[in-house]
Amino acid sequence: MIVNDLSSVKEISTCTLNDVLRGEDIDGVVVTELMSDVLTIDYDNILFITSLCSFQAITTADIIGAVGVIITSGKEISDEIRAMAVERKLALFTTDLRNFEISALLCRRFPELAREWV
Amino acid sequence: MSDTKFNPTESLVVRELITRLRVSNVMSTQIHSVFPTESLRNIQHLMKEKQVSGVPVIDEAWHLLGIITVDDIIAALDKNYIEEPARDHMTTDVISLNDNYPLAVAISHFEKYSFRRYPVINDKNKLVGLITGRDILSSLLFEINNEVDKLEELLPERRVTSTEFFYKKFHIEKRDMKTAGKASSEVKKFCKRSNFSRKFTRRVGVAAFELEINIVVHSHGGSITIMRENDFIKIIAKDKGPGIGDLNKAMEEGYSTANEWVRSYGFGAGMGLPNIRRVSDSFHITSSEKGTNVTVTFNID
Repeated sequence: MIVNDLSSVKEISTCTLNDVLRGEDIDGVVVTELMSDVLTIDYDNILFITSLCSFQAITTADIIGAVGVIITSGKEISDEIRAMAVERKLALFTTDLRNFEISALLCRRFPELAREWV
Repeated sequence: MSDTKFNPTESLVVRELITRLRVSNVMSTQIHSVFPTESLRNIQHLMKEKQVSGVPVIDEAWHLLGIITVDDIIAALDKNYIEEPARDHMTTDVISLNDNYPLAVAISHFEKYSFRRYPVINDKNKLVGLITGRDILSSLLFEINNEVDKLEELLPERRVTSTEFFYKKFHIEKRDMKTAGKASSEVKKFCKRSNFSRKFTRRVGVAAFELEINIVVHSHGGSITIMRENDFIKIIAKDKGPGIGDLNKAMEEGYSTANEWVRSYGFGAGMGLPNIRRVSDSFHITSSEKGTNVTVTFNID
């Protein structure tokens, strides 16, 4: 599965996604509201799913080398957070679904990803 | 820094972008519009709720009829006609943009007129969006970053000499969540530039970030110093107190003294110090009422 596949999911809206990130593999997914949990991840090319729409969520994703972030629960993305994601070279998506709902949907849609859930 | 005012059309990259991009690529399609019969009072509430300073007035077929701005609302409140309908007070000779215009035309409108937003209409004269200066800047920033990323992919990897020196001290204020992450972001950039492995970069970044957050949420403020010496990177975090009551407990995973404010940011799970120790090659901590000092090192692989 690659980052661009998320753009084809109608329940997911793309906020920022540059051409280089489009082709990046997603090798694992972490779903949590706890930043310290995310900081224990030692995989590359992680997709981070959280309902926390904050600078710290973007920074945390950047620190672990994530390729993208999905902000859930219909949170509104400010221009500052969008700009931060662009600057940190992170793909940023939103969805109205909650963490569990979007996780279940992605597992059904992309079964190969289901093995790599954290 | 140059005193010359930046002229976007002088830059080849920007000139190409503002010619290639259309208004439709940049505009916001989330439009808060009203019918002519809507009262100015309701429009005032709409502006406050949606945090907008201008509301287009349309007919049922979405043709643009006029616009009500914050200035119109202020005048209505001042002269006591706030309950009257929009149609009696809207500006009707609205300067709009076609969605197919190049962005360069939109920019020239912003330079020529003093308005902060323009309604966007299509070839059928129907309202399809709104464009502001912020929309233009955000889109240009995104596209320029896109171009830079593409160029970076084409460039050969740059290798830094093994003696490249790095030394930086970051002052961290108590409860300043907005700037927390600055030190870790800078050291991450240095590690990437130095072509260190992703795993090594991640370890250093995680430790720096957790140390920054600890100072922000648990102390009266402090500093983080990051330095590269020969074949290791060292991070020294010092704060001004109040110190850690029980160091042994603080090193246990899951032990936390964090309050609700900290947890609202997603921290306070009691993993900070254990995470730092886990990712570092050496870890040393001392703490008293005067402050906590943490020194960690990472052997460059």
